[in-house]
Amino acid sequence: MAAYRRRIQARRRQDRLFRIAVRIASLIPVLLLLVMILTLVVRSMAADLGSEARRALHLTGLATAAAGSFWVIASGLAVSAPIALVAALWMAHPTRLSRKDPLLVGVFRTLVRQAVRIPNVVYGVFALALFLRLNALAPALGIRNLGNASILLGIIMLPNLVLMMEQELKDVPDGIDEASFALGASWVAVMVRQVLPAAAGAMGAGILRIAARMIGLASPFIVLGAPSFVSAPPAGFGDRFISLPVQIYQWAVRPESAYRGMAAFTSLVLLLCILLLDVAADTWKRRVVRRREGLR
Amino acid sequence: MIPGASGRFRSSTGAWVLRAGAILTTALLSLMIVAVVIGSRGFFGRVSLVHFLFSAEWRPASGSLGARSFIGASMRTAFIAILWAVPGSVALGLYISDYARDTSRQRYRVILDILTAIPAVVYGVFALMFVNPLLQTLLGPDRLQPFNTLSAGLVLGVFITPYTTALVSTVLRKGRSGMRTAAMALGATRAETILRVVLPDALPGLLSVVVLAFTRALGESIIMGMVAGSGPRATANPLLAAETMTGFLLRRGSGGEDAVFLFGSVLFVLTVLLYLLGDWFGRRRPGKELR
Repeated sequence: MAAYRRRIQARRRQDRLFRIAVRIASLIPVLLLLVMILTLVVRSMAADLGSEARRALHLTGLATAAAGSFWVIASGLAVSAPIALVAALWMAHPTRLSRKDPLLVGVFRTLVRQAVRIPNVVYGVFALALFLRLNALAPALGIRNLGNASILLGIIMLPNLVLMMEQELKDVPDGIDEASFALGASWVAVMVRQVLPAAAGAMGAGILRIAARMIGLASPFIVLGAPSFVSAPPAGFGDRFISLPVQIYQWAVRPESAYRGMAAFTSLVLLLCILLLDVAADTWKRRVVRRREGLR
Repeated sequence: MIPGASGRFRSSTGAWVLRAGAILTTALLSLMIVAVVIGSRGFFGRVSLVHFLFSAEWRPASGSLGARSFIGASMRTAFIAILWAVPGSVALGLYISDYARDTSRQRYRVILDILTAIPAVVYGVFALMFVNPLLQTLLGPDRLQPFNTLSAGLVLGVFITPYTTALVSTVLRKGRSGMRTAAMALGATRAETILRVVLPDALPGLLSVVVLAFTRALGESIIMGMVAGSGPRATANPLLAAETMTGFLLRRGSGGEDAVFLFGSVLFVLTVLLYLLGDWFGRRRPGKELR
């Protein structure tokens, strides 16, 4: 009996120890998040802006990089959102609209699924290869400018946008398409006139969310060739530009502590932008869902 | 005029427009692959793949491109990353699925969302400003170089943790819940249920998590470029600086030399193959042979 009791106690002890271990492990990410934010705050407050650094800050202040970030995201979206929308409309009901070409469906699905997982830096290499070729044919196109970077970002966003839009189109309540079919509308009419307007709000929120993910992207632009110094926001697509994350990268790897302080401060600004975009996307999405619930 | 007639006309035109969108997407995504194949095509005629993969002699000027040290540094950082990210994610996933109450589960979802939203470059800043100095004081500055693959790998592990935790949660959800209930009904403690029933049942899924996490870590570039150091070094010591494939792409990419496209296609092929392997593991169901 005593042996039995000892055995039970040992098992209970093991259970308790395991629970404590899991709990401690689960606290690590919380701690890391806090330490990370604290490090950034402390480092940016302690930033010693020496004269050389201040000159750099004065010349390339954050406004230049922020404008670069905004324009590359906005024009990247302008390139890829329309294409993604049309492709998603085609894909959203594959048994109807795209049933005639199963080969295209297969290739399209595989490419989109794999494209999301390919490292971003590889896209930079792809784009560099592409633009170097194009530049040899038509030198006017240039290589390291805002226009090309927008196309590059557009292609990186494209599979993400397609997947998001397809999901949002599928999430539209079935009653809407069924009602329009009952009135004799064609598939294209149903998709374009009913399902698309019904999904528009959720898609807008999804675009904001994707923009929040893409605004922190630096590696493909660095591979394509980011200038180390730009004095003014881009005025046209042929201009060189710099974005917030690229600016952080360039400042953070410099040995002078003043640059590191600025990198920490810029990181905080970037995080704030991302947080705002995410909160806006969440609020928008929640409102759309609530309205949709009201319809039912 | 029958409304359906004009409707049908517009419908077929519309269907073509929509199909064109799909074709354009497909074309754009394949264009990228074609571009890099053309970019690295000339190279493979001149240098053997074996030399590229297994030699550490990196002298681009004299045409000797042995990339072993770059590949080794990439593997080393990715390995350090999964070494602590995967067990951590399993613990976190178990806590969320088996221990946490609803409110704390919700809170963890928010925290993981925030960690996912933080861009890699900010993790890089964190590595340079916190992890590196901390390791310097712990290990001593003469043993740890200012740039090293150890802190790169550690921060990389933090970076992929939200991703691996999401994967682990999916794997745990997919497990057969009947077995969990049965084990509890037989009087097993929660720890025994998890260690002897839930985890063995989820093993193939966890294996796929390991492969997917490794692949994700292998492709990360900006943390590597900031922390791992520059210039190839044939070493297995994580305390020394060594450039990874992705780090090389960041530092030398815009020069457009042969090696850039070569590393680009190697990374591309490697990630696609590893992801397919991970998917394959994930599809295998445990205990299938027994039934």
